[in-house]
Amino acid sequence: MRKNKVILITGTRKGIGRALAHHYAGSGYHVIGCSRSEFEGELENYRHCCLDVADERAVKMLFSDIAKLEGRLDVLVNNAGVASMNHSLLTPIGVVNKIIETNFIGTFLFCREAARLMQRRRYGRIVNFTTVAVPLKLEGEAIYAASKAAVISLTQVLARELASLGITVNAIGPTPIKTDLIRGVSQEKLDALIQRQAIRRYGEPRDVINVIDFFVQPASDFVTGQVMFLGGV
Amino acid sequence: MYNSEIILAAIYRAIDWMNEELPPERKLIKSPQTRLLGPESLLDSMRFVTLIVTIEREIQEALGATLTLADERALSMKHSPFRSVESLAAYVATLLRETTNA
Repeated sequence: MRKNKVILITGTRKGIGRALAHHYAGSGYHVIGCSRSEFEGELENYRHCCLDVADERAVKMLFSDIAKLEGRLDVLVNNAGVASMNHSLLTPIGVVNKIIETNFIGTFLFCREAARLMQRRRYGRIVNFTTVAVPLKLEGEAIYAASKAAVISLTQVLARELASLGITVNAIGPTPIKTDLIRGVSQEKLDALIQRQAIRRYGEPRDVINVIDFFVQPASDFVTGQVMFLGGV
Repeated sequence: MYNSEIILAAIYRAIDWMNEELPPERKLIKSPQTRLLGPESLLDSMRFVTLIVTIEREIQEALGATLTLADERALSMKHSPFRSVESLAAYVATLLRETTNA
């Protein structure tokens, strides 16, 4: 079994996921990352796997490999996600399916398989990603917000189901952060959204890292089923 | 053909693992007749789930086969394969045969 703690982060090719991979690889963790395409550049203490997070067969194979090669999984961060700004009347069903598959089904699959692996050592930390679009009820993000509302419910029920196995499940809801996820959102809408925050600025990867660090530390074993929104939302 | 003794041994290892955290009065006996479901079972629902997941892991490690024991078929059978260690071992053998023949 690997001596270092093992963390699995989805969606590490860019944005917040990439920042998380760098942070934990430099903090004594062995990091396993995944995305649909290759990870660019070199990173010590990091191994990358190409997969679609909603592909059950591929996800099961990834966890089988982790069990064989690492013998442990301490932390799962379900960061992978897609968004689409669209009025609901103009949203094609293909877009709906893609958002639900990546944001909800992918999160569920990784939680399920991670919990199966974590329960062997009766220890685990799972952090899911939701969004401020849920409490703010953002127009134009009906499907994205619905998929992330489902993640909140999933997080809170899993927290109860997995508590006796020593596994905590929490969620973070970031404000807009300047990544590809919000590339298609107009500046006007982003400005209006930020005006609804108590602290009116864009989020930074460090804000997300700070909350995840809190959720995953061993001392947080009495913290589960919680949803932390950034920016005072 | 899978040896039923290997399957039974895998189930017993899972029971050993479960028993580590069970109080003495709730520990499972390693016997084909041990009840896993129903009023005679000593397992609550969460521990039953944990046992099934642990048996899947032990089967995978012993035989290299990835099985999903609690699938729709198992849940809809007239006589649940989860009622006892013996019936579960027989169901595992059936799934392994089907995996081999697929």
